[in-house]
Amino acid sequence: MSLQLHRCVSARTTRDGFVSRRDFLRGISTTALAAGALTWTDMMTAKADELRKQGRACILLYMQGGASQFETFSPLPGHANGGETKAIDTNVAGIQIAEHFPEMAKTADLYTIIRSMTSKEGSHPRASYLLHTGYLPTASIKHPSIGSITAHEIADPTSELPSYVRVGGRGNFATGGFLGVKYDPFDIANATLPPVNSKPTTDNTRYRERLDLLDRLQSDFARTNPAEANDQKQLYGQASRMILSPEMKAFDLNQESSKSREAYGRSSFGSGCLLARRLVEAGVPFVEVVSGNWDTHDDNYNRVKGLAGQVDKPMAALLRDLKERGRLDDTMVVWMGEFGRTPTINPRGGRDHYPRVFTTWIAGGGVKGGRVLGKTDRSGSAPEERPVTVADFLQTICHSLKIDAAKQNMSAIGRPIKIVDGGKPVLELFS
Amino acid sequence: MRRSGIKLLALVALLGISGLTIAQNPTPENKGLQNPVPKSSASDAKKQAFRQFLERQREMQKQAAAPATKPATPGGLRTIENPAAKPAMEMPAAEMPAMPGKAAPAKGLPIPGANPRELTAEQRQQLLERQREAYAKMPRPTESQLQSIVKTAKVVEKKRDQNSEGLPKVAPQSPSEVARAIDASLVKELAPMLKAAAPATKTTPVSISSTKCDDATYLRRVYLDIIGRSPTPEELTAFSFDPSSDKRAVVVDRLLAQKEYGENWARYWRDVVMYRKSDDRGAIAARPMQQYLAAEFNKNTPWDEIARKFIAAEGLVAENGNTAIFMAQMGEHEDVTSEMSRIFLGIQMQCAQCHDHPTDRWKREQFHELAAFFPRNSTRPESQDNQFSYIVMSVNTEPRFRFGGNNGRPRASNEHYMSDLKDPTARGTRMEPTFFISGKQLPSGLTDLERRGAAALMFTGEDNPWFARAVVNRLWSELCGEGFYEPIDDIGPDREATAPKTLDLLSAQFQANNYDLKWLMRTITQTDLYQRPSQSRRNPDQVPFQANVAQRLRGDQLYSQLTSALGISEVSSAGATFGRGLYGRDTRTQFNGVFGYDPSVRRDEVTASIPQALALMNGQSNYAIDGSRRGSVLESILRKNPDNNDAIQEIYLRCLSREPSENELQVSLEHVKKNSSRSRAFEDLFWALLNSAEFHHRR
Repeated sequence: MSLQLHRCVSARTTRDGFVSRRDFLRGISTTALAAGALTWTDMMTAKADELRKQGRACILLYMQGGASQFETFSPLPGHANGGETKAIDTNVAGIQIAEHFPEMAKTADLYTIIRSMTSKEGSHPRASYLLHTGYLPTASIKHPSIGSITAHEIADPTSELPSYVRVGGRGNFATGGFLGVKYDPFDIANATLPPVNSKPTTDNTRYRERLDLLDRLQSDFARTNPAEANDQKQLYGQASRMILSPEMKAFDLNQESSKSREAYGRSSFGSGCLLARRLVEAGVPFVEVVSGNWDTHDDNYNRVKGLAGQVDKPMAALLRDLKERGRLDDTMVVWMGEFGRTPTINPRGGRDHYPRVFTTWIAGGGVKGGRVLGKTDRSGSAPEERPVTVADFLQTICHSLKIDAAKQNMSAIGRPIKIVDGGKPVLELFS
Repeated sequence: MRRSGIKLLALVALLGISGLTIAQNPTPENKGLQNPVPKSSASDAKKQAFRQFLERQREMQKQAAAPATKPATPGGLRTIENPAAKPAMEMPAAEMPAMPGKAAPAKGLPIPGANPRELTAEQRQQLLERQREAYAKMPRPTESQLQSIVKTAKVVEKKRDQNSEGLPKVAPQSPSEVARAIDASLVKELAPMLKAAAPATKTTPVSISSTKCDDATYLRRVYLDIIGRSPTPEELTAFSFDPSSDKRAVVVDRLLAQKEYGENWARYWRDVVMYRKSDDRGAIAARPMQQYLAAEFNKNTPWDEIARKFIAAEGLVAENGNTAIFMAQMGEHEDVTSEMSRIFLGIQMQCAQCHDHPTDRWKREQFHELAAFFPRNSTRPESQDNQFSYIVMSVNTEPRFRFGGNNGRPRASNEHYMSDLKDPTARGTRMEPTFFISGKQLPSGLTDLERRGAAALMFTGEDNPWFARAVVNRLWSELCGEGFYEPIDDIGPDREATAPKTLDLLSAQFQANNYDLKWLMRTITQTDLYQRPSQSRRNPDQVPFQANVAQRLRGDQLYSQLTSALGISEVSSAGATFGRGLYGRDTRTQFNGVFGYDPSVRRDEVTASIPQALALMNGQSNYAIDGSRRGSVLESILRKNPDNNDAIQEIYLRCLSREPSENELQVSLEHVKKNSSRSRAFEDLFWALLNSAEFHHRR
């Protein structure tokens, strides 16, 4: 890096402790570029090559509301806390899951169940934020979610597709935080429709003409306000490249055979899982597919049974599909909610929030399947072996994605924030 | 969200606030008190029944709540002694809500030991009404009592900040007088910088330009700044033809008198608070806050009075917009503390929460002494029947149970304890409320409203220069595009200001003018700098304050401008939902979810997103500019303006509040000429202007 650039940058860092985005870009353009020392594109392209080789991705299946562990992957037959839910055998000897997951029972060799997840946060918004960011919410710092971190750390900068796509999600707990709106999830409300506003209202020729007209009409404004005009031009260029890109067909489920659509099922979660697979294949490093209504404070058995019916087949289809297509090794599939549910049944036949011990599972991305990690005590009320904290869990995802979890990104107030604070990756999952 | 544990707690705590004293266990803090709490006049039998009632509730709560949450005081609910409470502060026994035995069976109120879950909705409603009444009647410290608390508070000399002397007392002057003084002061303060920069940079003009921007630019600027929308073509024409020399100041006066002024700035401050909410539920305070502030701004309530109401706020969130900062942080008092300091003083203390501030003078204990003003407020659902009705109230009893509250540290006190970093499970050191600027320390054990009332007076006191500086710096930055201190909410004695004397001149005058916000707007808009032509943000090595810096429109400004350009009442941003800052389902709010940003962030750090670009490129506005659809805004423009020049002009006025330049007119005409369809060509033009950078910025 040229000396001048260094001077300009350090001038900023001494005061605020961080470099302003635009100042940095300016620094590059006015000094280094002119001197021919390096170009932004060079840096980006160099990085891109390295990342393309890597090809790592994560699909997060998020059970919003907090799925009951007892009715899903940690049944407790023979104990009062297990309630009326029966356990069934899986294709891995010795592993049993709840009866509502017959398809997942047939693919148990592909994933590892973690039965000793533990946290302290029992309120939806705070726990959702914690599971997505690894931090508790504060007023001063808005932390980026793991999807945004992935987009920031390993996305291919030359890709024309968004790098963090969320299907069916809602809520403010998963944003780019201090990394900026650029790293917010790209939301897809309905997986069977094209992304909102992604279809030009005119044919492509006229669309390009419009962009050209816009450009020419901006020349006066660009003279007094070059930065604003430039930013806008770049953004519109990027957005246009995206929507005119042939890669956008990744969003089109009609490209799939009806056999494949049926395998996943045509429910919204099923379509979301299929979309996730398509996006990952197209190079999107992080896709979150959300299933809602897991907050079963009443009528727990019937409600979870119904919800399980919505997710069982698509999840199993996703794992099989990734496996068959040879993508499971570099794609980690993570199943989680924001917490678990109480071992005891409340008077309304429901289970309430329970962060102390709950269940998640991970498949692929280097994790060996067909196993169970950790265990609870007999009543299912406390982790007894190998407790896994939220930080451990996120460290594990980072480990699979080859993201350096100890790296510090700078928050808006100039305070460096580690990607994951504390915890250790659960390495035994990978061996 | 069904959170039975919390519901029950809310009820328990509501009972708790009534001032009932049960199982009076003397604690180390309350030995040797001057004013023991008067004994409850309820009979022992009643006490016994009530205690059983609470015991049952505790049992249920234990079952319902996460086992991770342990009641930190083994004795269970216990009213901590309140040393400073005057007898008058206690609830008269007759008013004790939900006191078993007080319940007249005829009214259907609960019987002793009743499980609140078994009460009918009607009974719960009655119970709630009683509790509300009782809480409303709770005596509150008067203004003069609070003043005497502050006046008699001892000053801890070593905690007083030496670099935070009060602003000089000056005689109040008019906006135009102060604006001229600012112009002169800026020339003086910037001169050395200009001189130093002159040889090094070719891009910076070496002398301060006193050129003014043209009328159209000025008008759009003041409209967007003061009332949050751009002028209509009619308003622009009227202004252009007004020959009077003072028309710029006159239009500011007129705009400040419009209701839209209060609405615009209420939305601004709503965003200041809401973008930092640490819990999505805090969003329910957004609308009440906005309505409350709009009314206050339009009444021109002095800023210090508004600030005091926010700091000492209480009551139902839906009815008291000034509770918003508490609600946004769900009453987590350390977060509330750092927000109060950030918003009203511009000083970010929260780094000192865990360690001495790395770059500032603030010691860790100073943050926690500030936090000690706030531990006795509580923000929670008011009743179990309505989980969306939250209340901010005083809780002078202990303890409070909460899932992992207080960042997972034990919370079992209505005093603030600074945690022991080496032993996070220990209770830590009890802190006394001490204001880090004046060093004033309150006597031990004051009630919530006494502490917060005193804090409100100290924050806004004339011996604290940061209160005036913070808001002056913020509004200056909003209006001129560049702050004296940046970021605008990170100021303080260890930060270096650009032109500090000018800031102090304006701040002292603002204080002398009784914290009059309209006065401040009038003054800044009359300065030279405000009226300069627009430029992009300067490079770091260029001299500050040379031009009015362009700023990306806030979501609300853009929404107002877009709807008025399109001549429609609302624009939906379909699918662009669930973005940041969501607090309602109306189209404006949804639009804000996509286009809004945190207004405290340095403006040139605000980036636009792809969904924003997509929404304007391909979204619903295309329907409005469909020239072939009868009744669309474009069709009507084209019908009324058969001449292409006129039609182009009209579209420019609507979108950018100005006429096209010669060059722009030519480019537009060419485009129309080469297109076979007139309406198609104008659709393209309209589309281009709506998507232009100029449309998205205030110049």
